[in-house]
Amino acid sequence: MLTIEFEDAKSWIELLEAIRDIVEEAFFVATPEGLSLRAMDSARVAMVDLKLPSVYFSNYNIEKEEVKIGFSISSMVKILKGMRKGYKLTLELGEENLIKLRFIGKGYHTFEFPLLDIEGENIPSLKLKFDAKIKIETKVLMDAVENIEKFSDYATFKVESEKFMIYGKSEKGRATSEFSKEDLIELQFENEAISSYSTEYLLNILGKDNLSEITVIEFATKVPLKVTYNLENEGELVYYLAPRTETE
Amino acid sequence: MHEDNIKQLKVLEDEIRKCNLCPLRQYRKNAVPGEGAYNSKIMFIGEAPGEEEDKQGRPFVGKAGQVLNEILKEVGIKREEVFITNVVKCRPPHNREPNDEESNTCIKNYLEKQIELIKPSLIVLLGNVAIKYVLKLNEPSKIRGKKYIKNNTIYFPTYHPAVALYNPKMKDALLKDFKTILSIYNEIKNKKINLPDFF
Repeated sequence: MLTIEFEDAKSWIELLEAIRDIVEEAFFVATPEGLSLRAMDSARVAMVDLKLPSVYFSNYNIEKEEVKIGFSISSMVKILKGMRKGYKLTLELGEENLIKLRFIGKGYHTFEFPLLDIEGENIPSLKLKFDAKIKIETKVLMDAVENIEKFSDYATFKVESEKFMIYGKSEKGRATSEFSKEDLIELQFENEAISSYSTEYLLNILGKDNLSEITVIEFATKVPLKVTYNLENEGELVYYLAPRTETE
Repeated sequence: MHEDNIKQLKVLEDEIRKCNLCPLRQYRKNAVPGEGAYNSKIMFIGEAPGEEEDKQGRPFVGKAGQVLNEILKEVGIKREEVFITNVVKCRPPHNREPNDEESNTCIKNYLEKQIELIKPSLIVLLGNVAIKYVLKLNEPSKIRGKKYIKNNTIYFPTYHPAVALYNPKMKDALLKDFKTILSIYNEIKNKKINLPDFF
């Protein structure tokens, strides 16, 4: 029914690790175009939108128009722990509602477990208009948010025509990171914007430098933050994070 | 609020003003689509336009509207920050209650779309007609004065402000309900924004 092959198992495991803090039960949808997942966290504050087109995989074979694959991400990550570098991974789905994982590397390892039999939520697209788009080194952005987290539960993102700032403050003090246009890979500016986001969530979303060295962020005043990692072979991992109502 | 939603609301209002879907069209001077903040977290739904509303094409601008304004002012909710409309958008003759056909047609074609586009978190139902037709309940008086949650939206059924015109003592009862409405509204305003607010 469905066979997906990853040249390196690590890429699949790293993707699951990247989303497990947001999504507990994942419902992937496989179509002839590729594999995708759209899911929100239980508080409905963060959303993951993952698109892996068929060319992302070393082999992708589907015999139906649509196949739904539901499983617990943390359970799958636990199972796959230790099967990291250098293994080829084949993910197979037959008619019997079982997911089969085959790792080929040092030895031949197989795992089989049942799929979740509940339907995933059909989540509509977000209607968003952004005032700024910033491309920044993944590690640099993560460091800035980590600094702010020492002082505040939320980070305020502010953009002006030539400058991008992140700051946070509390009675403990204040941390600010300022980036001129030259410090950034790209700054596309429409309007000045200011919006605050939870540092706890940001730390779960940012810093995925194993997926991409560049993070693309888009935001506008009191609008969700969009964080994009462009993956190899046209894959894309996007997170959305709802803003806080108040802005410092 | 997304610009598309505002455009769609304005198109809907134009459709309401030209509506020919039920017999009420023949009695109206002006249809009354509703007014207020399109991004409001709170929506008030009354029964139908009266004589003054029909004349002006605006909701709650007659005597019942004055009562509503006074109560809103008293509890500290600004009229311009809420959205106000009615179950039916045209005045029924001699101010009779709108019937099933008129109410259901207007709700299906207009009110449900207004709710979908404005996405209020709290809907205040003013009077039995609004409670009966919006919540599809046969005994509306039983749930008055209590929160009613349906499809992730909080409904608060209360009296129609016109009751205070016939029985001034009822203004106290209305005021009591509006104080509860204010506290729910404040909770909603202070609540964290969730992603579904942007669908």
